[in-house]
Amino acid sequence: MQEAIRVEDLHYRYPDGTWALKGISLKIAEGESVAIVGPNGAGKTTLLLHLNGILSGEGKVFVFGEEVTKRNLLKVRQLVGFVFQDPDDQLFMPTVLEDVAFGPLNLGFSQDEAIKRAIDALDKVGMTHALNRSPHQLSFGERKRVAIATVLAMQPKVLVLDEPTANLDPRSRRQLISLLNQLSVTKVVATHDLDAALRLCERVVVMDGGQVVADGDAQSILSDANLMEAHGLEVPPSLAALQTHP
Amino acid sequence: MIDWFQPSQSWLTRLDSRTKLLMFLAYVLAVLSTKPQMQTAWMTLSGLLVVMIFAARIPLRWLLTRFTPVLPFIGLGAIGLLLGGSKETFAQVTVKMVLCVGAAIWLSATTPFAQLLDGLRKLKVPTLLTVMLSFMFRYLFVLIEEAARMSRAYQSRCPRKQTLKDATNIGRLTGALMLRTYNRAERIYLAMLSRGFDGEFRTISLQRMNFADIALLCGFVGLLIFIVAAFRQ
Repeated sequence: MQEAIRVEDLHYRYPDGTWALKGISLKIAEGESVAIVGPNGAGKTTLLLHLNGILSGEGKVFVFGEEVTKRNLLKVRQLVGFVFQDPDDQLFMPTVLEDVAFGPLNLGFSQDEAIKRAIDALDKVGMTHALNRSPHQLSFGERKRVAIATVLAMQPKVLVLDEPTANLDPRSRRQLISLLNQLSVTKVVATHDLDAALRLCERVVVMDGGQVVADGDAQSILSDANLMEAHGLEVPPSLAALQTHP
Repeated sequence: MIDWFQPSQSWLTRLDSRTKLLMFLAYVLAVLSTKPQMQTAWMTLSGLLVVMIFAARIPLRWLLTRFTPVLPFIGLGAIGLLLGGSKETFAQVTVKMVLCVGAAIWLSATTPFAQLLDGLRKLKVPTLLTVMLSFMFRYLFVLIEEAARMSRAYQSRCPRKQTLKDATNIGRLTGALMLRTYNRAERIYLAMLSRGFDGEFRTISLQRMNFADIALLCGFVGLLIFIVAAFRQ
């Protein structure tokens, strides 16, 4: 399988001097779905922000074999789409259509092509009815779906999601998980929702204190009660139930 | 419930926003160019505004609530009048203010904000200004909600009547809100970068000015010139 993302010995220090990442190395193959889990402050979001060149620390990040540098940022950002945790940060245009077309326009597509891509992307997330609405008129779950559409419109090969299920009600959460499962792109998901990690990803990377502490098959990592406990996590209830009633 | 921004749909809604912006501008200029003795011109311009509002099918209640911000200013003028100000100045200022605000309300009722921005961009208003307006429109509500949340949290921990001494708390609250806004701005910028933003603000525009737009605009401006010229003494 082709390699989608490779991170080599990545260190990152915040301006206030604290180290957020202390030597992360990670390989993600094309088509894989990887969950990044860990306690608050583990460095999950910081790591994600390196994947499309928003932050750049010491160490190397490769996207489809090409090292992320200042020169290829536009290309990298087209390949790696980033969905932020708060859709109010992601949706900044007055209408949904303008917002979803923003990315394609920046990639240099004509207006017609940008609109076509925007409508396709909105169709994928089931939000075409909201084309001309303003984001503040939408529910939180709807905004989340539009936020995903804004990234899909750029047709990325890797989808990076920061806490996709945070603040969603159970129904919207379920819809979002099934929506993400339908998308065939490579996915990197940082989340505290371990049940969602289990449903979305076949591989789980556990981070703590800016380092990778475990990496492997989702089922076996998430069911390791000692490991979970040691890093402020817990075995998701669905797996715990299986363990007590084999 | 009627929409906060778009109370009604009419044939005016479908026009290019530039047409309506220029009509608005022409109307305001016409109102401002009238002299204090030109009561007939005022009457005619008011009549025209009523026709415009009628054509836009703006509900009366919606219209009246939007007029309320003008009332304090009229009140202030009235106080000036009681203190011996000139009646003529008062009448002139009040009439002009009401007509201009009325025209602005008409514009906002007939034109969705996104189209208005697009119109402004096409009329070569500086990008910095239109981008600022765009973000203001988008984040005003987010900011109001955030402020409301903070205020609720504050009130639930300070459930007594607020006195002047509590002003410092309000000040701190405002400071915290500013910090949050600053952080949000930072995150929005990151989100923009993630989608390929490179400093140039690109937007889509689906509006075209067609014959109906140009005809209406010419007719309207012609009518205004006629009114102002005819009643000039």
